[in-house]
Amino acid sequence: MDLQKLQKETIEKLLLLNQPKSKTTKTKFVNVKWKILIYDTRCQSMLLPLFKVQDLKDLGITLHFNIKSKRESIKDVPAIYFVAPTEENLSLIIEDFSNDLYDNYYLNFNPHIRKGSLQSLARSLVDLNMIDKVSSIYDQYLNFYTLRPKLFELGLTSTYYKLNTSVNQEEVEFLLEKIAKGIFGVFVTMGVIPIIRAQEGNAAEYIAQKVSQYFEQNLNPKNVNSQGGGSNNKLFLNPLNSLTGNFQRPVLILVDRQIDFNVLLHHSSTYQCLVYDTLKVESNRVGLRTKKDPNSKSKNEKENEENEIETKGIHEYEILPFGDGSWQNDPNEKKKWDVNWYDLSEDDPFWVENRTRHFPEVLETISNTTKEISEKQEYITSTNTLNLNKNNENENEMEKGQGQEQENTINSKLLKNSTLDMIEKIDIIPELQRLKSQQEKHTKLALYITSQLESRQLDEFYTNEIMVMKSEYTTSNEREEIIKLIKLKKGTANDKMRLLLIWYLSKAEISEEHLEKIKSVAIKNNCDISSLLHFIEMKKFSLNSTLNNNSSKGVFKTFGRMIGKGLDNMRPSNSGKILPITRIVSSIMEMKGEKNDSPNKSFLYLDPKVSSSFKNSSIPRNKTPYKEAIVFVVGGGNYLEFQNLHEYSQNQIPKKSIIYGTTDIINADQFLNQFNNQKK
Amino acid sequence: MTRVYLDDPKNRTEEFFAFAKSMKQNYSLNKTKNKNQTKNTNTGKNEFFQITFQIGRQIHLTCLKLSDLSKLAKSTSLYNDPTQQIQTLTHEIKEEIQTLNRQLESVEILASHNKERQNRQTKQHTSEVVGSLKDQLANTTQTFQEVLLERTENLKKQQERRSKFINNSSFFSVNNNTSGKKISYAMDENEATSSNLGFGIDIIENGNNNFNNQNSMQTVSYRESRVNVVEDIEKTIHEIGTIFSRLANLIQNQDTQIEWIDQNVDETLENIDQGEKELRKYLDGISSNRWLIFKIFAILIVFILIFVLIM
Repeated sequence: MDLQKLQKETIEKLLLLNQPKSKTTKTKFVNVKWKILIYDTRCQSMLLPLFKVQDLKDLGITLHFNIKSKRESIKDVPAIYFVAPTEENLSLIIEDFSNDLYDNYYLNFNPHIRKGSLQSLARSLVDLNMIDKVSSIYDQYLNFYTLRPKLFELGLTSTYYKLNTSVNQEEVEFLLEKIAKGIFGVFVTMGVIPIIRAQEGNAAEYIAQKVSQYFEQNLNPKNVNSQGGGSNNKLFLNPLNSLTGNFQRPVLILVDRQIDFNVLLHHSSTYQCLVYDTLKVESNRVGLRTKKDPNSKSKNEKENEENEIETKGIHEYEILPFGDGSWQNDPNEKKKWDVNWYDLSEDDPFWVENRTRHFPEVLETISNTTKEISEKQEYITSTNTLNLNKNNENENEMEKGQGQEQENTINSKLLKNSTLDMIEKIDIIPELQRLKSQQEKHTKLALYITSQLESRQLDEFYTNEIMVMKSEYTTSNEREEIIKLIKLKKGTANDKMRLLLIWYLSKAEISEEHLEKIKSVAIKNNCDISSLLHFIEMKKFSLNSTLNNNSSKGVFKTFGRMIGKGLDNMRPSNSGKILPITRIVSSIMEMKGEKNDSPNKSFLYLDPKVSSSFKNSSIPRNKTPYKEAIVFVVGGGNYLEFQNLHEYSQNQIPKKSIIYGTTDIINADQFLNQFNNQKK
Repeated sequence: MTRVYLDDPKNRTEEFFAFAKSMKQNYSLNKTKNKNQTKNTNTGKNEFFQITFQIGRQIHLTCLKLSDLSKLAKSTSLYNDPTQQIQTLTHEIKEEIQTLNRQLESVEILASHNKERQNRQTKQHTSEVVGSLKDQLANTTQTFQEVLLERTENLKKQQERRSKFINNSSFFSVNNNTSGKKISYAMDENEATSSNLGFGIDIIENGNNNFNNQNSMQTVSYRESRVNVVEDIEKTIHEIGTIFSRLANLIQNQDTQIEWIDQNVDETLENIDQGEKELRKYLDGISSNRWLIFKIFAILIVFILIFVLIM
């Protein structure tokens, strides 16, 4: 199940005006109607990883605009709107109607438009007498972003902070509903109804109940609710991917971020994790700026420089991330930098192959490929002399008195060979160009990461964290080591906090004085300890609740239990580390039973297809192991977790399919900044 | 209004129109006025869109024919050669492509005539439409060339196989003659789109010579080899030509293929910023001029006052 492909197909369908695709054609240009696409910012971010400008043109879309941009009238052209049904967007649409900008309007709302809004829209259009121009209105249920074929996120911000520290109950419930709607949208796109298993006692449980409710509302034909429009029981009868042939239902596993903080905070060693850790990557794009050379050098010199980078060090090139672009406001600054935006998606074979490997290996591969490319380049440019020499040699042989015909044929053969050679080389050129630009991208990324590694000593943090997690330090040694690292000037404040937090979370008990000492050292070194304070509070709360409440429904009971277990789960197994989340997922998928020590014992079991009247009696549960799972983490997820789950799914026999989803994909800095910025 | 896919549960159109109907019953409006207005403004533009629609559909049909032709061209059996079909199809496709070319040119002229009356976004839209049609036609022509090349190669292979059979006797060289003709015709097609080399006639002549000189086997084989060499050269030159044109296309297309959806927004933002700067400069210039004008007027008034006082 490739979620990215499914989403792309759904959007293609709406871009082709929801008309049934004609059967025959293998050729690219199926449709002949030229249209315009209008989207809002969220839908634009959704389209970015899926479509390039050429793809839109192939579907017949000539121009595309943001709904807020100033648009002029283009007569006789149908317009497709793909927006969220907010008040602002609806009023902008009505404005477009009143200005009579386009010929027909195809409205698509994401996720869906409520009955009330639909009525008011109808009223305004009747007033304007423009009802005839509306061709169709659809709900799309597409409020999620798929960044990889098996990875999606809901695009919400600071979810962990909002869910766990907010005092406003209404706000929290609203956010949870939003999350539930997003998950529901994923399943509408896939066209299946899953079996839901959720972690009890926290946000995941609430969301699971909500999602189950949405399924029931849409399945029950008698239920006319205010959210959707009447009975949508057909939503799951015509799935887009009815060709998968897999009749077994997948399992939706909902967990909270609390099961494992280490995976978010841990420094990384694989290429992709380092990229996402040190740079801000949005919609699979990353922006880098390189300092322009003050003296313009010739091409040869530049090439030599690139090859010598390993030896000279990185100081020749200064590469920085694009950041938020505020440096562009100063025109003097702007002149000094060259900006490049790079794509990090499945289209890049080098990225796909090397992203899960350790960074030093990747560096080697990059330098090897660069050498190969320069060799190929030389081969192409130095052809002519070789062939001419060959011709001369053969002509000398000819003079030994052979027949004229043979000479003709041999000469023509040589000519033919040399032209064939040339053709071969010309064919290689576009491929080589592509490879070269790809190499440049990865070289720059690797250079930036290396510079960060050196300046922040990320490898030391990495090794120390692993040692902490494996509890290879003795207690007093540990404290000294950590204090030493924090006092060191290298590494940003967030790096130090990460190490500190991992250490704190690994300890079952810390005496007050040790804690105060560590806190004071941190504050002296300009670290913002708000995140540490939060975790201290959480621990206190969970300990209190376990003392007072014997039943296993305490809010953070699982949190407390998991902290102790966390270390065991980090011990490397044969193939590599297995994270806590992978353990949970594997035990659920393989139906490892309801034994007392299995991690999924306290997981809720919900089946939306079973009507609520049967819920109280014992429901026949699914007995066979699941082949497909959708794992959703509430509160933030990252690529390390995704990688781990993916490896697990590929190592199984037969292979399983696991889709990983989360409220927002964040790196450690973003996670810590949720706490840090609150004082302002 | 197009008829939409009613079974789709995500479709809210029926509901919407039900609401609208119930509301209309409360209002009484004159619909006919609006319709007449819209009809008047549509005539000029409709022409453009109808023509582009036709062209697009025609390209599509030509493509279908082309896929049929490629299937036929791939057949490499010695007997049962569908030459007749291939030739008629090739001829048809060539004519269609030529008419499409002419139509596209006229559409471009029409578009440039319309440009004065159009706003910026409509201009963009029409140029995109024309560009897209051109691309599609170029792709079709290229596929056509490739199919023809394939056909020539297959013919040559057939000829080689036949020549193996007739190695010892030239009795069957009649076949040689006809296949020579076929090659020349196929080559002709290539030449129509690329350079004009007159080797076709040569090949037919050589075929005739083969038939006549049964004694001089050596001269036959010599000439055959010459013919082969010449054919090879011609083929390679042609291939180089196609490759260069392909390269040019690639370089042009790569731009849009790598472009992201929001990229042109940044560019326009930059342009707007620059425009704003220029306007500001001009404003400064004007305002400073204003001060000058005031000063000049003040001096004039002073002079007038002095003049009056003296008087």
